[in-house]
Amino acid sequence: MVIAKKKPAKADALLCIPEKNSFVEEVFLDSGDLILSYPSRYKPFFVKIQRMMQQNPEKVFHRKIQLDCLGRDVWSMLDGKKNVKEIIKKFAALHTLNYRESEISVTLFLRSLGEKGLIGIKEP
Amino acid sequence: MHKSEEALPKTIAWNGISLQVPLTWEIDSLDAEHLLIGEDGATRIEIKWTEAPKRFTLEKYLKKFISQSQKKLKIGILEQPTPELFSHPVKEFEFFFFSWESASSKGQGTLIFCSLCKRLTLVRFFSGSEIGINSLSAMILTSFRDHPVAGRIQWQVFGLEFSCPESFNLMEYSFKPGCYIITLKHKRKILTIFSWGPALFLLSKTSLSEFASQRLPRLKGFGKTGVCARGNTIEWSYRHGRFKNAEILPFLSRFSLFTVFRITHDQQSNRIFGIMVDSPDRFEHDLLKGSMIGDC
Repeated sequence: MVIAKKKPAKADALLCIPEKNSFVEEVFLDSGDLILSYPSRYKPFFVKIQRMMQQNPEKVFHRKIQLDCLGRDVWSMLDGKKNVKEIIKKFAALHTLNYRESEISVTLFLRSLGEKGLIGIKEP
Repeated sequence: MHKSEEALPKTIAWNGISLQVPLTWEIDSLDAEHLLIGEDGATRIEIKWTEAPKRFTLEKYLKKFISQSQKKLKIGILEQPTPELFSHPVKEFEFFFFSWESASSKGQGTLIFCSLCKRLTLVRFFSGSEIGINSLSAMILTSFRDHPVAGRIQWQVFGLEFSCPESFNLMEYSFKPGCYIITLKHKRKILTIFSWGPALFLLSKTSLSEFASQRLPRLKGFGKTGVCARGNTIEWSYRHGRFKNAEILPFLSRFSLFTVFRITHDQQSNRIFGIMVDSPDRFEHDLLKGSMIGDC
């Protein structure tokens, strides 16, 4: 029997604390952008191809993503102490955004970072 | 300053409905006939309205609306007496107070029927407190309005502030982070209001004029500079055909549109505001006047 995992309520999710993955390397550019570099593994399809070509499929390579100054601001707030709600409020104040606009932007951004494995989320 | 103005300094005006709320309250979600307003992620007030059919009796209309609302909002509604000393400055309003209860919360509310515009509005508060005299709920209800003033409808959401003649109807809207657009239409006249942000980020590598051309590639000619209450403006006025090269054919000129577009960078709110008017008759500069970036 498959038991569906209960989705946390929005209020509870906003109290969670995002934390940076320690494997992520940061490079600040003169333009103000930030490059995050993180280790990644090949997807199963490419692992098969690597095996067929008799290459090492376990090889780790580095992916890079470039954050603009808005992404950089959110990234710099991930100190392992502030919860999502505090980050949303701080980001809204920093860029004179309303709470709702900031909430959507920050939560989507954190989700995309989480999907890439750049951050982890811990419960308060 | 009046007591209610101190406690409720913020106006929310959307599609004909307007009310005053505390500064920290913000719109959580909206559609053409619905508003959900919250504070710090907690819902404070919900407003839902509908226009009356051409022929109706108030009793049947109320019953139908209550039963639909109970089903849609999944709440139980129980009639309550009108709170003592409650009065509203708009004499056309009739109030029907109730208490409501759902699986997770409960509160007070009221149905407001306007005998002038025949609109029925359900307002429900998400706090257990009574709608007593001088209570926050009563003050919000007192500030509630649902029809145009001097033939103009007020709009005030997410920093967008403007008024337009009541003949303009909401055509479409989009509130995505970084870009808000509201489009209103009256016959062939189209009024579009834009808000982009954060402005400092968007204009960090480009000028306001270039930004406008990137966002609205159909802008033609040179922009004329000016000043409005929110800052310096750039304004384009041009005539264009309904499709590419339509102006080559003279008999199609009667289908062409006169377009006015004005844009400004409001440094205080860190947003870029724009307003565009497409009209088949003439350049409608008058419609810009009722907006937050209208003439000084």
